[in-house]
Amino acid sequence: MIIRSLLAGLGGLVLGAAAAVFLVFGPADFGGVSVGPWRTNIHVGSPDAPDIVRAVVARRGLLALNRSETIYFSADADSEGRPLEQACDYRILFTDRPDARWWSLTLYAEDDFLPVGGPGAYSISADAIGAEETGFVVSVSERPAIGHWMSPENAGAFNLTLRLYNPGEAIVEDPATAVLPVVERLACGGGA
Amino acid sequence: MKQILIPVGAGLVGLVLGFQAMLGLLPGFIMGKAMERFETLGGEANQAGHFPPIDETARTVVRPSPDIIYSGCMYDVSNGAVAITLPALEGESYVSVSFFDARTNNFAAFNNRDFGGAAAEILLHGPAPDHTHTDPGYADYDESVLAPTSTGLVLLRRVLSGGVTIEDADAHRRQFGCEAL
Repeated sequence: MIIRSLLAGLGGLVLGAAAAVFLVFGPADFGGVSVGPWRTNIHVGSPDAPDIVRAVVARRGLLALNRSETIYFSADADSEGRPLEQACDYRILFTDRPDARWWSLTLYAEDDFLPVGGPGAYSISADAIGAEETGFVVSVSERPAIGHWMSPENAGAFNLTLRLYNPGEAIVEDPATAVLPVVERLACGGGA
Repeated sequence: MKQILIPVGAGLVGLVLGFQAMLGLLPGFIMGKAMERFETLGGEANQAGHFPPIDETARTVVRPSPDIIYSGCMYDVSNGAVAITLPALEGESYVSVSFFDARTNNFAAFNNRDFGGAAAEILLHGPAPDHTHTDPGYADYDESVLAPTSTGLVLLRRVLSGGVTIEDADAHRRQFGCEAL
């Protein structure tokens, strides 16, 4: 019975370790706050983060700043919950400028790096928005679009990250109160 | 019955221990890999290094921002404190230094607004080997920070905003300092 118990304990150790690796490197998210399709994790960078959150953040957002300095909202789906796809066109509708000292919106390929071999149109920042533009639209499509445009070429099932540097106090206190853009899917694969 | 319950209990205990142990190990492992990659780019302990501007070839850290240029320093306070210099930057643009321990925790961050746009000297120190805090000269610095782990990373972010050229931003971020005392 001792040998059987030792083997069971050893098997449990291996299974437990494997389950942790699966959770951290898998698609599941932990401890997030949602605003429409956008998600953020209030524990990013925090020494108080639960172990599972720290491990997931280390894998997906290594060297991210804590929320008093920067809040990162990510979206991998449109506002109706459909995964973002390279073959589809999107409109990202900002009703107002994000409440932050500076912000940027970046498109990442499904491997969480910038898309390779495209036109390099993978980011829009506060600098690109004219003083007269309170509300504005960012187009996401493989074909170049007039105005603010990002290309998902070679990005596959892409995702978006909206960085708010020195965000407004209300957002720091409660990220769920942030006013964030709608992600509207238009046509896919050249169809309507 | 006992013959079944004891192995099952041992298995469950092993499951929980294995799960928790791996969760505890992974951040340090991932951070270690990032520091290894930093070293391959020429980074050395307690010396400032400067990453190339971010484009699609950047593969050191996930989700890099192409609107920012980065510099870094692998700190090691095991043999004494390290002086970190945040370059001066007035106006609306943004530069910051952020401190990450060996478990990926962001234990401190300062940006140019914190010092009214002036350059700042930040003392990064660990507890002395005898676990007492000997004074490495706190009064001479704008800020002092206790490092939770003896090694980690300091990252400088310089936002490319306000029409700054990449050359000017690059020259500016090279004023970032990281020096063992």
